[in-house]
Amino acid sequence: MPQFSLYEEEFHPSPWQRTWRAFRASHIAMAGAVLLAIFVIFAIFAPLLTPYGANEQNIDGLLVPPSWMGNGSISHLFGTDSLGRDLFTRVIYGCRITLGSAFITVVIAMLIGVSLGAFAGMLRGVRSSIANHFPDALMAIPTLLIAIIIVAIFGTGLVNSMWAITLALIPQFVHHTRSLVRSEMKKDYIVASKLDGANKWQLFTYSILPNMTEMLVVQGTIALSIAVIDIAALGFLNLGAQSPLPELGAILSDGLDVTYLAPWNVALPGMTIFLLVLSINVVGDGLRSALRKRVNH
Amino acid sequence: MTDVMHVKQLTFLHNEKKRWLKRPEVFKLGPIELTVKRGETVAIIGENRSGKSLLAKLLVGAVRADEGEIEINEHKYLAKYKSKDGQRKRTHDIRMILQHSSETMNPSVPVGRILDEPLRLNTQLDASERKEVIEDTLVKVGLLREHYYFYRNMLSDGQQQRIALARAIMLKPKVLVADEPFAALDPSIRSQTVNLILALQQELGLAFIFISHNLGIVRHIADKVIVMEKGQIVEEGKTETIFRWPQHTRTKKLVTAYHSLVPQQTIR
Repeated sequence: MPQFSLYEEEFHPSPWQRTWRAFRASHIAMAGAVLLAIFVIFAIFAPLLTPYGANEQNIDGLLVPPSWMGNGSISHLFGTDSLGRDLFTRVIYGCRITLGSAFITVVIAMLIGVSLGAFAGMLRGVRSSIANHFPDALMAIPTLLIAIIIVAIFGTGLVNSMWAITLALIPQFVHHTRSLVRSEMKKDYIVASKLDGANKWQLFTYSILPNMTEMLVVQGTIALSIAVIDIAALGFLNLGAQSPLPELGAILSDGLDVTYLAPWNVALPGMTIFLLVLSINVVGDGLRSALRKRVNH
Repeated sequence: MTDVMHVKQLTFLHNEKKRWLKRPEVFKLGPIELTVKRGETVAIIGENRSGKSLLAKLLVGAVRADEGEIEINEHKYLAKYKSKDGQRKRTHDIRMILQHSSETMNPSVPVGRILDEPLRLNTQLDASERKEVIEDTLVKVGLLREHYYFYRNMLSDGQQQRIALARAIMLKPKVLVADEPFAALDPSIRSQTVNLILALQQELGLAFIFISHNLGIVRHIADKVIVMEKGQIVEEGKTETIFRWPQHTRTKKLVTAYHSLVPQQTIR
């Protein structure tokens, strides 16, 4: 038995600091994080960063090419669209609307889905089966299709499409949470906690929830990228955000009318959606491996 | 020496009725009668599937029994408990070290919080007092205060075993039940752990019930040996008596198997 008494180390990195260190070690993840951070900054500070209003029309400059092209001008960085609106401004506002509404959607879906899934996982028998297999049946249908059906019933509009996507995202959270809680409940440390006298709520909050972060991050980022694509897709199909609203999908569909004349009207919003989804996925992947390293190495 | 624990008519019946494509499975444990004295070390030996681990779990209340009574320090507990409360009262007096200590530690919770749990749920101490108790206990089982902040994956098997031990003795129990506590350890760590438990036993005066396949350790530390076969106690008695004059065939087999492994002079 060690009889020596070393003095205690002053600094112990917290779990989040450990995760951050592991995350920082991966360059690709960091690149994704920087990209995502830029999008988030655009989304939050959109009115401060944009030179024009989102719907401000410049009649003298219709379909001005982007600034790096020969006859483009620096006053319109990404050029203008067929109504003379500055595309850079609209794309930044588009990030705000698409990313912001996707984020809200995912948070609501996660809250509902995880609590339902935890409920289903802690329970046994028929109630658990109903709480699980009913959403499971919904998982067979693609989220976009569910969203289209819901929008068809409630009518078009950004808020309706957000509700639709929320409802479509809930089943996968329920499913993953339930299967995770189920498998954790079988483990020995749950028996040990039960012997300490923990009730079900204490078991869930102290023993199972810390093990859920990895699953939550993975499913959360997958859901976020799905939500971004779906909101943009519904906007593109004119089912979600309607035209004057600067939503990336709606901007894309506006640009589609003038594709041959002004291809940047399609390319730039499309590229933005692509980069947005890519950065979300890269960050999610990096976070997952960082969280796993925290537990396994 | 006073009796610290009485077990009366402890019975457990595992009865799975025949189902489609499934053979019926019947396992009956007990009825078990057992008395443990203060500071006594009791070893449970027997072959696999003889119900040793189940008995240990029944004693601490991890598994609900069908019949029987457990009495610890004049407190009577029905082994066939219904509510959570009966179990909670029992956690103070009887604690268990589960078989695989690495799996009994939550991988995403630091050691400090794992050890905090029994105190938080069973005592009235505030956070700083609890931390003090935890650090004292960590030192007591031969770890450092720093291990408070460690995660499971940073600890070796021997250290994990010590954490499991720390968790068990945290509430100053009267009886400690351990399911193969020395199985996964290498010889030097094993003897360290044995010495540690013996020292703690003297210090706290706790009765120690353990399951082991290692008859060398059993002979070395146990006062009393219980031999189990097919859910029944087939023989029980003082360690030396069991090892020198085994009565039951099962005991004879186990003891001969042990003697054939050790040099002749120990038998005489």
